[in-house]
Amino acid sequence: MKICVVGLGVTDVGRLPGRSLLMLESEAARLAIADAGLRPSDIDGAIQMTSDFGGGVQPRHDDAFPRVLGLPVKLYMENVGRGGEYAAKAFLVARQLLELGICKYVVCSGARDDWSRSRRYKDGGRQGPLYQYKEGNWGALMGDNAPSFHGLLATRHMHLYGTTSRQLGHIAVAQREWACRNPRAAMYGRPITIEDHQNSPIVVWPYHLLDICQESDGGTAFVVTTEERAKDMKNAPVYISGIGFGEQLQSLLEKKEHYSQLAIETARDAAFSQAGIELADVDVAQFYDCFTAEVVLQIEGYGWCKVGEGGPFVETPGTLGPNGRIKLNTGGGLLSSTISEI
Amino acid sequence: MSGTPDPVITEELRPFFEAAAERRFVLMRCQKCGAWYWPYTGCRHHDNDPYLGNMEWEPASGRGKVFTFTVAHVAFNRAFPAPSIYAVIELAEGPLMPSNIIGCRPEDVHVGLPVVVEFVENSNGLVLPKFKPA
Repeated sequence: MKICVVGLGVTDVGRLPGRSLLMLESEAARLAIADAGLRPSDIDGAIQMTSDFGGGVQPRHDDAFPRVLGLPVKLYMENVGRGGEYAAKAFLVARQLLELGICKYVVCSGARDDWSRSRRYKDGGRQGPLYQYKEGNWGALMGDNAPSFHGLLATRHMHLYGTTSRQLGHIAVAQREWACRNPRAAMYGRPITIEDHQNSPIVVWPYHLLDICQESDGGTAFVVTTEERAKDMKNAPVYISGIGFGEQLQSLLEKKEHYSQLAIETARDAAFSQAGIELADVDVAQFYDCFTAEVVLQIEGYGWCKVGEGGPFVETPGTLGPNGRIKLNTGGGLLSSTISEI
Repeated sequence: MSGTPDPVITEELRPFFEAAAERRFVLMRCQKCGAWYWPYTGCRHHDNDPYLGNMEWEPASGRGKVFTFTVAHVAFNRAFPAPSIYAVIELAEGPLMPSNIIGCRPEDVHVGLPVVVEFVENSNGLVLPKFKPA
């Protein structure tokens, strides 16, 4: 059985003080349901795709967006994944609900309030663009945070393969070019050059400011149903042809190669084989780009170039950006558009 | 408010912190095959061992090399003044351990730098193993 997306909802994104995660989720879900041409009373399953950031956000299974919208759901599943992979896991769950005949229309909604949250934490001795967990696992006790953790991968890649900050800058520049074509992107109308990247302040070495994603508030939602039901609906369906996973974090302390590779092979093989495609068939890719090196690691992992050759590859003219042969993160991505993505 | 994270110490990790408080560096070791681990875990070399059944915390060298690192130039948290070095140490016994590099200028740290443990008490009174150039 095939499943497909029949409605999409994206709230305003950027700086939205005074809006809670719950209301951003609700608004995104409302927009998605309306976009699908459905009514709230049609929705019988709901999945939350919002990170539990650890800074005091509690799971809200008793006060969630289905309540706000009055959705008569049979099932509400909270926090189905973790940052950046919610959508894939939400599709897995939605597919099961649809395939078993438990639900007819499943709405999946997630939100982030990174910009608002970091402002709140300033008063606690912790400052933007990042907040720190109040309680810490091992890394937090040592001052670890998002750029320091992700920077470990960049440093390792640089050490092993000679990748340079300037090469990573090409990721930032290419995505900014895309953002300049997207009026909804945070950095619309603000092109950058490699020199701008190199001259931007170092936040956490090896990362400059322009290696780091946006910080924004916003919500994103979609409605999923079966191919059969989608035939009679308002929008042309967007089919989910393949889903795959690889696990890098769980093995990070034991598999040293996972500091320089993202365990993409199993994800790619599963998704591509379900879809019956090869890399050459891919017209456009939307990668998780919290920091620039992650994009290089994904380009290598999917096989556009060999492991370790991503640095020279991305700086080759005609590779990335709107005029390049690889159409990658075409809205500007997390780096230049918004981090409301789920 | 200092911003220092409060530690979450599981019962299984408590012996590690108790040893650190006495300035002893321990790692978890399989009593069957001698393999070293950090943090607590079952041994990969024997399927279906019972709950940490063959694992013990044992004294380790406290020596290693920088495997990878970052240098924070912004103090996101007042408890961690900038610049500060966050690194993953490849311990002499094999396991990887994330920690801070101290007593080292940011421009002098590099992958492969030999380091040795130095216990540091943080503002919570918790003693943590950090590492300095050997």
